[in-house]
Amino acid sequence: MRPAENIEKSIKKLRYKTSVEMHDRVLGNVLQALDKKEKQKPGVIKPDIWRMIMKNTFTKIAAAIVVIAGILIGLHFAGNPFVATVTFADVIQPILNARTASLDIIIGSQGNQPVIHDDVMGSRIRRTVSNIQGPDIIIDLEQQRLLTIDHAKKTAVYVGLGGLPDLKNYVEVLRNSITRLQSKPDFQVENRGVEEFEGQDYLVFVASGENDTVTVWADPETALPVRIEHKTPNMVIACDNLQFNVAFDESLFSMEAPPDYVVQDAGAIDFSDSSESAFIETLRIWAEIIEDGQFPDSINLEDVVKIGPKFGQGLERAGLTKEQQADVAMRWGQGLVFIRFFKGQGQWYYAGQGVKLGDSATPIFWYQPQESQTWRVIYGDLSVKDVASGNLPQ
Amino acid sequence: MLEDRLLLWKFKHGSRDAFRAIYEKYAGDMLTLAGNLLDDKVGAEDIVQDVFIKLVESVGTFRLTGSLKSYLATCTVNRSRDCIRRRIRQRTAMTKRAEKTPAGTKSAVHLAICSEELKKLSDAMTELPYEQREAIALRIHGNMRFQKIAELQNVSTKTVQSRYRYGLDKLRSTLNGEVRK
Repeated sequence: MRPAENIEKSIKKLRYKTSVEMHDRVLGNVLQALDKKEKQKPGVIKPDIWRMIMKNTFTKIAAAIVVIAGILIGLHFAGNPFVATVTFADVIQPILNARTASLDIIIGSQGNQPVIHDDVMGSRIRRTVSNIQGPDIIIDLEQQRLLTIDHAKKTAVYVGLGGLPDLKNYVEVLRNSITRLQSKPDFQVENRGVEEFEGQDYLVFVASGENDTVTVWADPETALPVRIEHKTPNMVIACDNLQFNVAFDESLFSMEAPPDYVVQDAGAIDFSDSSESAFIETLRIWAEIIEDGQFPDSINLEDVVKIGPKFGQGLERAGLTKEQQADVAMRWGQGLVFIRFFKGQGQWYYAGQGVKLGDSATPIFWYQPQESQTWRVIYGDLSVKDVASGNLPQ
Repeated sequence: MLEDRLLLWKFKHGSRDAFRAIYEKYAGDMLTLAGNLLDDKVGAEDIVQDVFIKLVESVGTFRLTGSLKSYLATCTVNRSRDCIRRRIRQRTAMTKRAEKTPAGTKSAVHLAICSEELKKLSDAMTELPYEQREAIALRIHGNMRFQKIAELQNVSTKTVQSRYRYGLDKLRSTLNGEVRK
């Protein structure tokens, strides 16, 4: 009698196929149905989202913040020490040697998040975001500029990314982070061997420490990492469909507007102020404008990416002029850099859920600055106190 | 995976290439699933076609809650069940329909690897009670968890596990019987 697994293996070989002609016929029929469906479509007016963005100062900034958030995600992720723990040479080597990369980034785990797709060549990123329809987005980290090209409208819009930290080369940042941190000994890495994920077999490594877990899925035949998932108490970020050394056409990353396109300069987003005070201003705007007097349930990046419409409603509710709205959105975005490029010790903690703005008794956020023995605690009235470790909120 | 969500999103926004990519990625798996579910293989490609046409027709309102692979597998199972029920009810009509099928298309669906052993196994699969065959096909070819299959079959997870185990036992004994002959 055969062992069960042998039967299962045999059944797995029971794959059916059809002739090329039949395959083409079926595909042709389905595409015909697609054509028919397209023709039957009523005159749907697709909103020209980019035109709307350019008309509305707030949405322009919100869209840019989403793009920026993605940059911050990538760097936050790259800078995480636990990536370096997966120093199984075969898996890490492609990252170390990568000249170009292609990846999808998704924030959060609820299944309805926007997908950010990045093609990376040196300091330039060509990005598409699934909830921003239309334009190509090219980010030049070295020049700190962002170019959007709308081929339908023949417009090219430049947005400055003032004040971002020195980010000369996206892939190099990743490489340096790993190289620098490879020597750190205090990691735990579990080699889980081959595991099935979504119908395919992968080599799986899980690196963990403190509150972070990084899981790497690698192709068992090539040892190339294809997916990396990073879990922290504050967020889940997955980099999926990783490919390295992709032969991109360099022109895809050109920061030159195509000839005959109308070129616009939308100004600059200044992210230079990543101080605690800027962050407190972000918290104030979040509670006062977006959440109507109460701090949000969470301040994770996935909330930032999805917050656009709610922010817009809040700005309208507040009765601000367009100029004021732009100013508020700008200040809100600037403060986010504080938590995205967090420079304190360990991690930050947020506990603002249900706390009303002005509540001086309830701590909503605390963190330990570098080289400080005490912690900075921000309360519901946005006052800040230095607190010893033993007196921190539980 | 994320690639699927991206493809689906592009397809929803009118990309034929994205739709073609979805088709090329999953049509083979769906054909295998339908081929293993149906008593005879005629109609397996019709099921694949029907599922994709349905996807096209509903793209405006379609909302993916799980994985695309799982969604398409579920649609394939539902269509296969409909097909089997229809054949039982209208066997004569189905026979006529099969007769009308152009020459060559009837045998268009065939085993990718054709060995004597696999042909016997394929025949043995068709002899299984449908519920057992479905549990095995969904587990092995649809890569579905028992819990998900249980939801689809509207029974408990334990029942699905039993169906799976009994199905494998039956296949094993059938094949051993073949060997003894």
